[in-house]
Amino acid sequence: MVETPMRLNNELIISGIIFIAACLLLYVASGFAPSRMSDQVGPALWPKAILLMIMVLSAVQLVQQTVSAIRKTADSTALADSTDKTGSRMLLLTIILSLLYGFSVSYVGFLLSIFVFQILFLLILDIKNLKALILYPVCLTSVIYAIFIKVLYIPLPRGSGIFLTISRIFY
Amino acid sequence: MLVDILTGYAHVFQMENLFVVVLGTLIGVALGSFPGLDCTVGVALFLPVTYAMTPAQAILLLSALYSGAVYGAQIPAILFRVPGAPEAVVTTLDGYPMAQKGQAGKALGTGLLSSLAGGLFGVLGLTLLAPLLAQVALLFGPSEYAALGVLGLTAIASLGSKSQVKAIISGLFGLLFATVGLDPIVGYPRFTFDTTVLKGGITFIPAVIGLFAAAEVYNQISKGMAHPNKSLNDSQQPERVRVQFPKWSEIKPLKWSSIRSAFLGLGVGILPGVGATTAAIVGYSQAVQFSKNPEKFGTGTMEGVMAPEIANNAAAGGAMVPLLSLGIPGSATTAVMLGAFLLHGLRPGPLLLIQQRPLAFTIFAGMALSNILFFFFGFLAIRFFVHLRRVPYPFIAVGILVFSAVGANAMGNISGMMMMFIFAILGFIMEKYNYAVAPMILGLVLGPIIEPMFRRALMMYEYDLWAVVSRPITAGLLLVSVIITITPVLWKFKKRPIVETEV
Repeated sequence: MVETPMRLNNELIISGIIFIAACLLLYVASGFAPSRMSDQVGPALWPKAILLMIMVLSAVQLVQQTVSAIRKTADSTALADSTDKTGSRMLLLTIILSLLYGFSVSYVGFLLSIFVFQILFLLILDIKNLKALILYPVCLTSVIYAIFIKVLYIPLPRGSGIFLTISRIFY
Repeated sequence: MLVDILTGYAHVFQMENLFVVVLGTLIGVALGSFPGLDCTVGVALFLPVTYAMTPAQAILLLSALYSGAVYGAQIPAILFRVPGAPEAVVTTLDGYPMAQKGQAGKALGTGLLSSLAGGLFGVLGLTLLAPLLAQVALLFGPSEYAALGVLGLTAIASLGSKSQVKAIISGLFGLLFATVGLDPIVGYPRFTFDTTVLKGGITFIPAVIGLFAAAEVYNQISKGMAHPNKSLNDSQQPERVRVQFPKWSEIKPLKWSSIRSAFLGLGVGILPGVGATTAAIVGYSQAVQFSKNPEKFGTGTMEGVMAPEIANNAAAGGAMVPLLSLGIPGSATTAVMLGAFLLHGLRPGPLLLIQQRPLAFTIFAGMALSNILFFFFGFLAIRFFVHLRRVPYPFIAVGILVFSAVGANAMGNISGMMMMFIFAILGFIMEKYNYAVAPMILGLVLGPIIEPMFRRALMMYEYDLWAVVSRPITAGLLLVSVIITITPVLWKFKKRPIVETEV
């Protein structure tokens, strides 16, 4: 992959975040219960050792990437980042939708939320065919219903309130 | 012994038993192919189905399901980079790049053949060496397990195709994530931030599904792949993925790697609590370490599919050894199977091999038959998944995300689903900035083995570190770890002057 200045900056940010996160977590780990006579190693030693190694390695990364960034800054003709613009928009919407789905499933229930999630997801991905937009989620939800609920008896969330009543019709 | 083996096969070929083995294998392959439904879930879910069966049929169904599921997991791993079960995580590393290069048929053929070879080797080991190998496993204490974990960790640096430092950071984060939850020795909450969800730790299955399956969907979307007219085979020649078995000339140079993988897989499978996922990692790791071209791993090599598939299928047979001979489950799946034995009034252990010898050998025969059967069912499953590759990508993406969500939910609760999405985002960012995902998985698997075992070993030897590391098997395993870590570095130093001279 071409190391554009933008990409290098992002790499620097990622390494910085890793370093700061490791420092913060090390601070958290330093508050763990101290070792006892029965367990002289204690619960803190292992995570602390890991975090120290992460800190050292991310610091090495930071130095390396800073040097690279300084060298590449002059080269303003570098190729642009290859990420597709439409793709980025779709990705952002997909991630937001995924997280919204994760939060809402316990309230709306699995069956209804998964059906709506599929339609919205297909719309985000530019599927405009109405038949496909309806038939595909219906089929996939039916398959999931048959396999996971009817055959395997997996206790999928039913939701609450009115959604619980709707879910109880099916499972 | 021969009479016992023949009796076992005679029992298996009775019509009812044969039907149960066929059914179990078919269900196993199908379940293994679904992300999130690994063999443990499959065996647990079908346990109630065996109520109405005889003990022999019940165990045959579940052991056939187990063999089938270990194989089935590789199909979506190769075609979609979505491992059907954790056992196939390592197979994605080279299987999927092979598929991307237009060699999906070859990757699937290699996987199928390797699974057959590994599976039959595992059953052979189970049948012939069970009592002997069980005795070796008995010698393993906490220090040996910790050393075995360290041996597994040596693969981390090899798994980072672009940056070894980033790969090590990723592996360390895996080890760190494994510490989340209650401390395994004193029960102290670590990194839980007073939340109930994190007290149970980071659940492995949602994390794996997120890092591999869902992250790949995000990755493809970001690349603009999610266009309604695009499908997974766009970049390839007209799609006709036919299972293509490797030629003898291609297998021949890999014979030692395959033999090592088979023995390692069987050995790791026998050790209680380790399992097929670690076997696959160890198998892949040795293939990388002994290869003349380790840099090619992760880019789509046949050896990268062969080694883990032989190892994890051999481990499935190996995991049954301690269960049947000692009554100790060798893996999560065999732990569930222990429940099935007890449910049917059987107590696995040395007495089972003495008092219920025909039953034990019927199980061995059933597993062997199941391995042969999945070789044929594999073609059907592959055909189904190959057709899926022609479907426009948005539909595949929705399918993967939906099954990932259900799979993550099936393994626990809604928090598992949320965890899966968070790991998916993390996996996408890691992929984008060349932080290999596989070392993180390695850390997540091996962390819960290394830390508690090491601490227990230290307690046993009154905190005398030398006493822990100088135990013969521990020292041997650690020595092997050091050798396989140092060897590639030494090779580089050895080769460098020649290259410089040539330049």
